[in-house]
Amino acid sequence: MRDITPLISPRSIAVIGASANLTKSGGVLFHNLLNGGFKGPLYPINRSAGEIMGQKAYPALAEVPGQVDLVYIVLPQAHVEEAIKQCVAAKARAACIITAGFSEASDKGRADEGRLREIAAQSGLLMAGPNTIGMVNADCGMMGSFVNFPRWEKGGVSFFTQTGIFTGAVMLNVMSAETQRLPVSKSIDVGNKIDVDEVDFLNFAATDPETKVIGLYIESIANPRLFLETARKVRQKKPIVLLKPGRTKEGARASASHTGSLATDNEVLDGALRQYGIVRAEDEVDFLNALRALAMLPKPAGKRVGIATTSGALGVISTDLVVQDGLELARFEPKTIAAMRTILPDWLEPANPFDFWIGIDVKGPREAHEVGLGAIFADPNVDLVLCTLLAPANADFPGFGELVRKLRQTHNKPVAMVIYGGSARQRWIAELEGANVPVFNTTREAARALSFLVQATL
Amino acid sequence: MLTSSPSGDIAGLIAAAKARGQAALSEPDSKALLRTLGIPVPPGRVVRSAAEAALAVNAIGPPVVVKAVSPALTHKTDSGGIVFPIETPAAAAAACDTIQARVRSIRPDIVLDGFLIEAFRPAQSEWILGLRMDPQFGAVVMFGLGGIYVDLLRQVTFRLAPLREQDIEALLTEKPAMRILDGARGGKPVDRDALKATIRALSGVAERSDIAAAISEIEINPLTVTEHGVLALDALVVLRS
Repeated sequence: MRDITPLISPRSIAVIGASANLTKSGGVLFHNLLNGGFKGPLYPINRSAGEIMGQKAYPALAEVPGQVDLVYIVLPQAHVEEAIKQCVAAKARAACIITAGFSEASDKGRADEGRLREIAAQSGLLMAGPNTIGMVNADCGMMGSFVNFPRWEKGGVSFFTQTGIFTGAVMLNVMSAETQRLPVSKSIDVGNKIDVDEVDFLNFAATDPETKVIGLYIESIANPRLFLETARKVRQKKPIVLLKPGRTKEGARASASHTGSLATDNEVLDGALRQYGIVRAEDEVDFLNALRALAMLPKPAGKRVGIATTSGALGVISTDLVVQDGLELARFEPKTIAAMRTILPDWLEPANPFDFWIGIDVKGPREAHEVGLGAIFADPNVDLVLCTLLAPANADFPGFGELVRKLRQTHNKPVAMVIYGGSARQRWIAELEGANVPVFNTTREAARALSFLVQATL
Repeated sequence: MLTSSPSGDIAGLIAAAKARGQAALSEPDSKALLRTLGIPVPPGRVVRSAAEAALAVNAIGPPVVVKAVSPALTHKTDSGGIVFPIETPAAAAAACDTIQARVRSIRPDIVLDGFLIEAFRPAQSEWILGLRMDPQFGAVVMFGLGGIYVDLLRQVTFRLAPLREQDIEALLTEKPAMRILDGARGGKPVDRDALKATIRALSGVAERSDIAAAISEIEINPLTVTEHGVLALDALVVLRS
């Protein structure tokens, strides 16, 4: 097992190919590093500039006065190998090659990449890339990417990805959300995965105090046995969600041309992942929803779901989805049923799913929600709560968010929420900010997120 | 010559096959390997001629099945290398001649080693059980619905060896077709313990370094599974090249 800390949490950074030109990757990346809050020394390397963005520039890595942990390389493809040799000569500990045009591009690129890999193996230089958007570590303020990230919700999710631009786009999407932002600790994109791989990252994440949940987007698995054994150990403490495309023959072909990945027998991989308890997301929505649920919710005690709804239809749809996703319907305690009866007319018998829309007529929206949601949260047979609520004006009441926040805190049970339509929807969602209650766009997404939560933690 | 081989002589069997340049063990040799693992196969014997085949029918007892024996003939059904059910010595002798003629016309390059005369056991429900030495995953066990629809329906589940009890249970439950094991359309539930023991025995090969290093795959298809137990009706051991 090797330590990849110098790559992910470096104490000093150099950028070969840094420039003052903000229309170039080398300019944007350096600008982001400079303004991202990185505490350690930052050295721009540029042959012709004396100074870049107010920082003293050095003509070569060898001229930098102090020890350099990590070197970003943002150069034309033809100059990368020379830069890597400079890194080795200067005893840098890690390099992140941003430049594309290697194994994903051509046979020549593949040969070039092979030589870089050899240098890494011989020298022990840790390498990420090539063909990557870079690496972000919110904990040490390293915004090492040419994508301009507007804001960063610091938290416990750490990503390891093997792709070009996807990670950046996903991060931008996550960060541009007004509410329900995914709290992120690190996002390490290793592009074509020349050296540092998913096993290195899992070992790092296992002991990284800031990482609580691990998201992997990988197109190939370097050593499946070692990966599975490592992941099985790590998931005991930190849940892992895997997005590994190439589930179809056609997808595997597409993956080969994207990152130059070798195909893995998907049927075998699927069985092995189940065997080792690693959950697999099917697409990017699945992936992010699962991570959001894991980041916001506690470990469930079991897989029995209580469904609270103000729509009979959504209650039925929820029931189908819950069962289909391998969860079970909870059987309510008599005490729960008795509480539920107080907001229903005599002729209606409470059940799971519990539809309490009529309770809004009987007792008004506040009491209906207090009792309807409260009874389900309190039931000892309920391990997970799925709420599908309607938010028209007549269901609205002041303090919706406060009510749910309190239930979530008091009972410390996982809950997934869907809020449909109506004037109050946006306000309800806004009121839930910081309450650790994930809100999903559809019932399917909510049910799947709960199922992922169960699979990844139990 | 009985197909049973002295226990522990599997390494010798494999070495001899490799020395002859074979890519796979013949069916009788593959079954001899299964037998040493404790996996039941139908009683049978290998004969050289039609005349010997006739004698074998009486020794084994009808009905029997007659199969061409050649390690190069891995798809016996496609090349007409199998005839069943056979009730009389005369029919067995005739079947040998028929098989010889068919194989000669379809695969003139193949010289048969002989014929396997085996007690005929109808495949009531056909399953597939395999062990594969995968270059990426190592030893992989596969179990699922067998017979001719394996590739069409893909009702097969994979787990990596060594298997825990819960992995064996998963192999027997993960795909919808596995419900047939519980007894379909009035049928009796199968002998799950015998099936589990068979899976355990096959996956155990991965830990026997002498065999595991020499083979790339063992496939039992069909494996018939009933309330009385399991029986490997056909088997193929592919050698590592």
